[in-house]
Amino acid sequence: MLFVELRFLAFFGLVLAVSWALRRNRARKAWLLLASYAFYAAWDWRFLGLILLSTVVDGVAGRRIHAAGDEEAPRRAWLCVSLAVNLGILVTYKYFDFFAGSLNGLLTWLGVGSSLPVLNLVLPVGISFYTFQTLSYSLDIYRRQLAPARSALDLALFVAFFPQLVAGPIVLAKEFLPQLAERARWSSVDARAALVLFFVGFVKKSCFSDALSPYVDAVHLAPEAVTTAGAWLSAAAFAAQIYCDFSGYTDMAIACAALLGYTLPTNFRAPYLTRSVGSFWTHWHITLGRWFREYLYFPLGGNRRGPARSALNLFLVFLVSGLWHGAAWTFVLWGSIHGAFVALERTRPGHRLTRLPMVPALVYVNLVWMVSMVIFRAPDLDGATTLLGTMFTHLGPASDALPIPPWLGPCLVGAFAVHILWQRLQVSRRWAALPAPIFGLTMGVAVAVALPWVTANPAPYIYFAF
Amino acid sequence: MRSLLSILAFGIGLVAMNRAIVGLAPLPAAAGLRSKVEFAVEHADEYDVLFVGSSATMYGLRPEVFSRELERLGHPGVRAFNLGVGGMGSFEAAHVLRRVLEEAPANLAWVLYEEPLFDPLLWYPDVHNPRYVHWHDRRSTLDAIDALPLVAAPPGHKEEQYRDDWLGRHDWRLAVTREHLDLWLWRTSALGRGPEIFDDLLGRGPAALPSVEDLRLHHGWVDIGLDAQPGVQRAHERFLERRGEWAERLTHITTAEANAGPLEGGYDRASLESLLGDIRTAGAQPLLYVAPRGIASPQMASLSASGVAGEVLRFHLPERYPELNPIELRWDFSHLNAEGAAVWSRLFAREFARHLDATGGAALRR
Repeated sequence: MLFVELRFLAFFGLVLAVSWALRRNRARKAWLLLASYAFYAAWDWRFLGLILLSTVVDGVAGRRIHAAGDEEAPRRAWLCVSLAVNLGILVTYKYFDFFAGSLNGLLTWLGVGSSLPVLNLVLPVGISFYTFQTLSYSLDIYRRQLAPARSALDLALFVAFFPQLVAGPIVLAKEFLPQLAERARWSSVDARAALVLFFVGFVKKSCFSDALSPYVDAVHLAPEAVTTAGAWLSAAAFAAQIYCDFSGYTDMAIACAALLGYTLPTNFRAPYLTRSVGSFWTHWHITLGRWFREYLYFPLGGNRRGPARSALNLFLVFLVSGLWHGAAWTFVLWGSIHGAFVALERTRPGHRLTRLPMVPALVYVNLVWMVSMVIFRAPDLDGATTLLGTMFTHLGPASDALPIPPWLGPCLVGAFAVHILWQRLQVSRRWAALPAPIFGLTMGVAVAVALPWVTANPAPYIYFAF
Repeated sequence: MRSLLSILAFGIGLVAMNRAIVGLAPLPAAAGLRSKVEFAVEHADEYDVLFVGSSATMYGLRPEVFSRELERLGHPGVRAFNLGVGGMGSFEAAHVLRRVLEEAPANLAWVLYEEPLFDPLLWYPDVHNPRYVHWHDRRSTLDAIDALPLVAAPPGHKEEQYRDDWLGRHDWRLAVTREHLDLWLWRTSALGRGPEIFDDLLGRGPAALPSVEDLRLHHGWVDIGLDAQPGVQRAHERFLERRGEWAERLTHITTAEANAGPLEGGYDRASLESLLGDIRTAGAQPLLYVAPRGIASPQMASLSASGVAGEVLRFHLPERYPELNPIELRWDFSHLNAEGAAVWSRLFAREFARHLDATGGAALRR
């Protein structure tokens, strides 16, 4: 069930109406939990078991860690249980085949016959997102930054809350659980701001991302068929597509949560207008960066052990971040490239890159991003090298076998215009502040204007695959 | 109060802008639909007779030959227009005709309508194509949904798709109903039509063929031999390779028609009566016909026998119209070539003149 589908709007309308009609906080939370499980079951009900397992394990582990007080051994043991179960699920479903396949390839190359089994398991939607969320719960209790959830219902709702369940933003237990303590009040909901945000997210996804996706897909299906210009254009198109897709989803998720009375963290802040790769990562998928900073970078030592160790830590974080996105060498390479650039910017010669004037800085950041995203999007390293070869060496065909759709240009401009308009000029805030009738009228007109640009078959969100 | 006002303003803004945008949405250019309908609407008052049908009509009936033959038979000055469009089914054809009738054509006396089967199934796997969307106004959508109980089975190639109903139900009619409602919603909201509308406003949309000059010259008839569509040429080549099968087809028609029983309960009489009523309300008379498409039409035989729609001219019957059977008059199994079209047009004029005489000299012109 995609946020842009009519059936989601019907589902959400029902959930919203019932949740505000329920007077008791407990009943409201139970209803939202039920709705969240129904939302996930619409993808594949069989994987609900994994969410329940994570919830039960973290619920028990969290309480035991807390109850152990100052006894370090049981605290560690229960944290290990939580990590083992959550990461075990993630590794089994997402990474086992990748590691087994890679090891098989290596052993075969070394001449040692090997045939490790491949599981061919279906990847449960959103597994990386909810696993990281539940991990934050037990880790924060272990670090004494959080008390266990008041009830199993609170914890279950934190893990499964449907607006952010399948593609974030990655919410930390310490910022969401306190919101469940009391029933939210409709008077405290900024409904107009939420509606504008939902609309903006809808436009980004349905009008821009879905319009760009067929061309990008066609290029990556036959990378040898595009010219140098076509390859660069597809790289720009994918940069626009993934921004509109992911930030559009996040906008809608935050808006849905806001209408239900809950606050989710910001996940994007005009990343394509940043001036260094390091800064880019504080504006793109902010909640993932935050998670890695808190639960991986700092435990590795952060920047407390000198510049060299700090650079290494950063590189390792980005390597893992690449793997978080997908179990393939393309993602490992992509993460490594970003890790290398962020580490480079921390060195004395590399630091100059962060001091560039505005235009060269924008070119630098967007070039690194666009080129690296070719690797990210490619189905394998061969596909990536073919396209990158075409982009940088003019080795592609003389003319485009894939026609460039006439709407690509306006879509690209529109995607970046939305980026600037909404996030830099704060148009949404000004729009929401209009007098009520004018707000209603303009929203009606805007919806009518947007509908004709919605594509026939909405593509699944790119980040659902992670 | 402020919320109510806001919701009201939202509704007004949405509907007003939506209506304006939907009004700008062009008809699909494919298969001559757009140019023919726009021409017919603009020149509605200029014609006495309108042919409505599929590609068999579009390629097979030459209005100028038809009019000349009528003149020879004592009916001078009849102006006919061929509103045949490639791939046009009955619900689409009825919708297109209604668009023309809405103009209250001052001189239209007869609507000659090809084989109204009223098949409410949507055969293409991707239903959101412009040809399906454009005719799904409220009335046509409801008519198609009403006709679904009369259909025995869904298209075989879509059975699997219909089984995947998101509610887990296995009622294929419900799935087709959803498709129709979806198409109605798409039409009503102009969903997905932005690029098309914008291109049209800038005058850079696909060329709508036939051209206005061709339409003026041939009054809607298209010479299949000059049609550049790849499918047309492929069908011709296939016909040349397998021309030996033509005789078998004719035999099959004879057998199938001989075994035609009474009008089956599966026929959508309501849509037919509604269509005939619309034609009469517009001041014209309807006359149904079956095109010589090389396939049997037992339902029309039954319809003709039951008298539901008066006489049905069944040009597909090999024994009754042997002059349409020679293989050299055909472009492919379904269509006549230009010469065949001239033969059918003369034959049609003769049958039409006979029909006029048989019905007591009904007016050929208003």
